[in-house]
Amino acid sequence: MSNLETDLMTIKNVTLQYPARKGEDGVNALENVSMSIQKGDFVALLGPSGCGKSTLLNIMAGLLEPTTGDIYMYGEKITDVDWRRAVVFQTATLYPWMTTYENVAFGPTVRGIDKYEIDQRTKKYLALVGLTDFAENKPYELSGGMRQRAALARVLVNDPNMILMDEPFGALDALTRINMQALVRDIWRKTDNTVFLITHDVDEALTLGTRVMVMSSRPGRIVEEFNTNFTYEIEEGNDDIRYDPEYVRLRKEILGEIQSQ
Amino acid sequence: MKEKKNYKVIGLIVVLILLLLWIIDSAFNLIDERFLPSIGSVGKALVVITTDGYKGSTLFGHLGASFFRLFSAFFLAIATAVPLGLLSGYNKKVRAAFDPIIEFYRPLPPLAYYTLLVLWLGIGNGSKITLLYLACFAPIYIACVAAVTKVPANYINAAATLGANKKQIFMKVIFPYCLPDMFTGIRTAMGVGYSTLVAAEMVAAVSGIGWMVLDASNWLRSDIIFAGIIVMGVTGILIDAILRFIERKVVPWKGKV
Repeated sequence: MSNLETDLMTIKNVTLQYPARKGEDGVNALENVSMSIQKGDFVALLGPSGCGKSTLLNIMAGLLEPTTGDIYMYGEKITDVDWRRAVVFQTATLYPWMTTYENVAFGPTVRGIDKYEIDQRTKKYLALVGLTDFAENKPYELSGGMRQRAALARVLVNDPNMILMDEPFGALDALTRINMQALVRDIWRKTDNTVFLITHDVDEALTLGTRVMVMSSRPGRIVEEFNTNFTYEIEEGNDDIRYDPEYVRLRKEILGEIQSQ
Repeated sequence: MKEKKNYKVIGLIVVLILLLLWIIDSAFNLIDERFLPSIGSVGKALVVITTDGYKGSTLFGHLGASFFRLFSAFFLAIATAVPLGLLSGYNKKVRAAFDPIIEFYRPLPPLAYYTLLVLWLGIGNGSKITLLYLACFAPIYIACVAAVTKVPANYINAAATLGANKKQIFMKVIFPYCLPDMFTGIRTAMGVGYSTLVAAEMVAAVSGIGWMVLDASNWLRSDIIFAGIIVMGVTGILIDAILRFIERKVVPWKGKV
């Protein structure tokens, strides 16, 4: 199934143990996680809070080193952070000392890309997330949804191979969340990028992901995987997919799986 | 906005009432001149020390001497405490080396070690500037250390995953993040330095606004004391206002994140 050379990302038997504190045993956050991700996948990882989802994402980003096991990107072992694996955090980590434009241009700027190209790309992605008119505003002048859109543009402008999203809509109100989900689906289709999304919302996973994975509670293991295509149907305008018997059945099954943990 | 204005009015009213009480006292000679000089004699003293001067220097001469000491120490403190504080926040070893010294001397009353400084550095400006420098250093250093240690991990992680190297993370994320706290430390330092100024001018000085007030007290010249205190108070407020103005220009995001 997994092929180190052709997979975008291969995760092999990754375990993470937080070191033991005095008088306590070490905590196993992740246990033997393996998966392979192909280009164009939209992986949605579902799991109860505290199950180690974010830990896995941090390992994939290169922010955290696994205790055992390896992780590869196009056959190359991941040892450090790399702009090719972008991260959208739960709350937008925009810098208040920069304008929206400067925030979005941050990646290409620190990477030393040609000024003209930075400007072109920044404007393009500001437009894509609908923030052209707010380019010169500071992040604290934007609403929560706008900030998360800017954070999204900030990673897209780098043209990464993979976008890791750590519950990016968790802090948003329901209406803004729905708009953001549509935007992410739209961008994923348009840019043909690969997305790895962490969520604890079953509907979010089912309406966005092409592969929905369920993680057990601590220590986190992948206990089930479902392939879905509801996201394509929604994209084609079929908003009633949520009432489709297949959708309802799958939703029930996943919820049952999570609750049995 | 409107409410803020109303609160300012309350402050203004209190000041005006005090001023009115002083005017009434002055008009009817209620309190002995030695304890509370009349508004007229303080005004006269202000004019005299501005034009003729007090013991060799005009008011601006004294202020100039004081400000030279204060600002030399202040800028020296900023130039050293900021890099050292940031480094201490960044590197636990550096912090371990400097923290004990700073924690030890910081709570000491400046006069306790001033004699030592005079012994070591003489009675000139050297010991005075050093005393003020030490007073200004601690608040800036401590503010910088605290600021670096509270930079949110995801601010740094975001920069790293966007392609920034360690130097860029420091220059573009950590340093600007620390600016608001740095300014708070700098404003505190100016306050501490200003209040230490009088102490610094108590020993072997013949100039300075602090010295002028102390010398006047030796001769029970209440009018000069009052004039000096008013000048010190007003310049103190003025300096803080200037620092606040610079702060608003440099860190407009302060308190908004």
